[in-house]
Amino acid sequence: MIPARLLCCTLQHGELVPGFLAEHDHPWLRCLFDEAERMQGRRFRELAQRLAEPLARAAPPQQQALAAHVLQSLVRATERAAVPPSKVRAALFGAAALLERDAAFAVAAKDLGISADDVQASLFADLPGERRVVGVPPDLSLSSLVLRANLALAQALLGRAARVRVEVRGNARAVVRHAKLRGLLCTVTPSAHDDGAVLELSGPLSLFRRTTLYGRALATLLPVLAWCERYHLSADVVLRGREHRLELATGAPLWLAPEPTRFDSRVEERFFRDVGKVALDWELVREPQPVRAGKHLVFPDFALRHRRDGGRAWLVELVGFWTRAYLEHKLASYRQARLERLILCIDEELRCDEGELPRGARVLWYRRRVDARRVLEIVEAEIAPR
Amino acid sequence: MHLNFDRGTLVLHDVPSSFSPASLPEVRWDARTGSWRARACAWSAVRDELGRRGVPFQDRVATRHAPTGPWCAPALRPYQEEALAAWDMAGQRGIVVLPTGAGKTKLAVAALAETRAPALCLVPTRVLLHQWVATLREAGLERVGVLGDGERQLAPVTVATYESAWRQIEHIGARFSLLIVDEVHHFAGGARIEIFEACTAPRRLGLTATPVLDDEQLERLVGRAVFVLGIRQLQGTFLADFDVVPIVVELTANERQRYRELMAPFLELAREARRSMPGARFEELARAASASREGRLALEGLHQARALCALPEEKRAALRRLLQRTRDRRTLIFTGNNATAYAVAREHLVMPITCDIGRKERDTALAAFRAGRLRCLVSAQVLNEGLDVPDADVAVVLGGQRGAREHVQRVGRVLRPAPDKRAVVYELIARGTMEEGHAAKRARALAGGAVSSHDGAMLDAQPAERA
Repeated sequence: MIPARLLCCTLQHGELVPGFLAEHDHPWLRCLFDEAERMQGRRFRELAQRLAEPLARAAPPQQQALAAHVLQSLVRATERAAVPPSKVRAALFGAAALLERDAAFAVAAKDLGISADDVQASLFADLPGERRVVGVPPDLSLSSLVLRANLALAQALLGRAARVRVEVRGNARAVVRHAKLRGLLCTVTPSAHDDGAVLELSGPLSLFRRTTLYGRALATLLPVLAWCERYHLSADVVLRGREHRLELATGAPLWLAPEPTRFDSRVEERFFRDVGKVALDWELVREPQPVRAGKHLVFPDFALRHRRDGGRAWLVELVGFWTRAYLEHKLASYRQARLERLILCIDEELRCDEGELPRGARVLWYRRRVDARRVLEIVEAEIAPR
Repeated sequence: MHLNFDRGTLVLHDVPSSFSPASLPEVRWDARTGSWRARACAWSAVRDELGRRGVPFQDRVATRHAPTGPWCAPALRPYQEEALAAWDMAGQRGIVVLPTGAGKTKLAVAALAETRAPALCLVPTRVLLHQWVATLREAGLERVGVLGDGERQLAPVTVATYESAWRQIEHIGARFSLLIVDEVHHFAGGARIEIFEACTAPRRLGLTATPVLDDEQLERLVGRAVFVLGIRQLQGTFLADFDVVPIVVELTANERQRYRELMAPFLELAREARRSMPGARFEELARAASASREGRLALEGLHQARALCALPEEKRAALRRLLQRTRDRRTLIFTGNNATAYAVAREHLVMPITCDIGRKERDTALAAFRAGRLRCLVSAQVLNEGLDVPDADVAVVLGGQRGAREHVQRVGRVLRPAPDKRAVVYELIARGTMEEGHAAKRARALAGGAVSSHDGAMLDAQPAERA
């Protein structure tokens, strides 16, 4: 995460406005790029120093510092030493304990089989600032530097957030899944405006104090949000000891990370594939529309829909690690949602509670692989009497 | 009713309708999850209160641990015995203040051996992480958990860096019943205090060389100072006698001119702040300043002025003379930053001990220093705290960034007692610069004064520009 001094943003009507880089910054960014290219073969600290100095085209100082920081993180560097620097240090400083400077260099050089100049050059060649610049990655464009810098800035701001609220449409489940994987608490309610969802994200300790303990986890949401059809995020960010509101929305010029994985586990992925092979009359929909359960929304794993009769639809939930309380809560949610056609596929090996299952659940136990045929048997058997 | 640990908090499940947990210590209703919740650190208080009221509950937080060990309890010096007894008397909670070199880690091992409790030991750096692991193994413990420096292995007694503990505490906070915090003063002011909140351990031992004042939060979460002993009280007995020799150097005309130019915007800012923010600490001033371009430039000027004072010409010359004079004595050089440490290393051919130097090489260098094959080491921070540095008897302080507390720690590095030993601490101070004010505060702290939690910041707030 980028350091606080690089958080270029302004305060407008109490709201933080990130100083995102844009196309109009390209002229001075080009200079920054050129400078980095020119430093090929030089020490990394020299590159850092040069990128901090004024450029041929005037640049806003904080934004230049931000872009330089991100560019440096992408520049490749290598160690250039005649022999491993740790050996050089051991030889030279050991000799210097007994000898004067020139004699120490001569002895170290002789011991290592290199020249005194090489001793000097190799002494700290392994330090981060002493490594030699190889160059800017060939596939790095000005536009991608802009987007990467913006993402770094937005994530650093979110990293200082205590709570986040996101209104999201499309792919909401991926966001919820990601939040839970990162140990966040996430409440989901239907959006007042459309068929989207409102996610309130925080951590357990947030109940007691304004904490940035979850900042890193919150910051990792951004790349996932970017894959949603639409989102609007608002966060309370603590900056210079004060809390400010930050708003980000669809279209924010951020680097697009790889698409989040569609499945929570290999079991889910395999189940999806298996159903596709054996259920010719049925379509398995990954992450169907969320279902309203009282005040909240629940996200079923799959919906199994008959291809010719849209009214014949089931929800399928794959449950890995579980406790009785968890299952009861899950079933209560579905009951609240008045969902009768639900199949729970539960991993036998991962269960941690020996108590009986709550009544009313259609349960299919599995070990490592959910038997798609048996799921279909249940569906067909239940449907048959109708 | 069940009491569960949930990511650094306690959650009460299956609460009977006849009972309201709202009156339990720290317990609040969490509408996000529809459950009653408290910080994990309230575990023993909640449990005791439920027991006192006769409310039946199942405690799923408490895991039964076999006693840790085997331990070879270390032989303690009388003052260490007293410190341990004071901690016991305070309900095995509190902070012990002992000078550097007085055996704080040994005291911690004694506490571990006495309680045989599963424990999490927090240390500020990776260097100290490995030193603690080695110490615990020497004390007879076969399996020691390590969290940090790329390792993630949990055991009933685990050593963790602050950084790793901060990231993992949500998951491991219920595994231990004793929390030992080395260099606990780092938590003054509330930084990363969540580690203490998210941990259920009721027994807590904080260790430091400098007492922390005015920090109620730290007192609530770790305990009050239960035992305090300063350097002066052990000097000549369990710590070596020592002299502090300030060496005041002049800046050259060019350096002075540059220093004035660099400091001018900051001094103007500080003058203005004294009017508009009376009593403000440096960090508040810096925070306000960083909101404007002028303020940021003033702070940048201050940083550059500091860098200029780090190794001006006369300090280099004085250091050369000192190293010639102390050629036969083991010497530690302390700098304000790594760049200065490397500059000294290149110029005087002194082995640097910094965060960039790998563990193996560092250990080899310390062993060579111990054996006398290296006579001198230079470091910015790594040698400041805790690290078991072999018998050095001369310290040269070229500069520092962390105020009086850091200085007390550094002086402690040369106080390991030896027959007829008299250690010397040389402080090189640039005349007419902010360093004069810093040196005065360091002297006061060394004389036995406690250090407030804002110590380092206060030092920086008063640059002594007299020229």
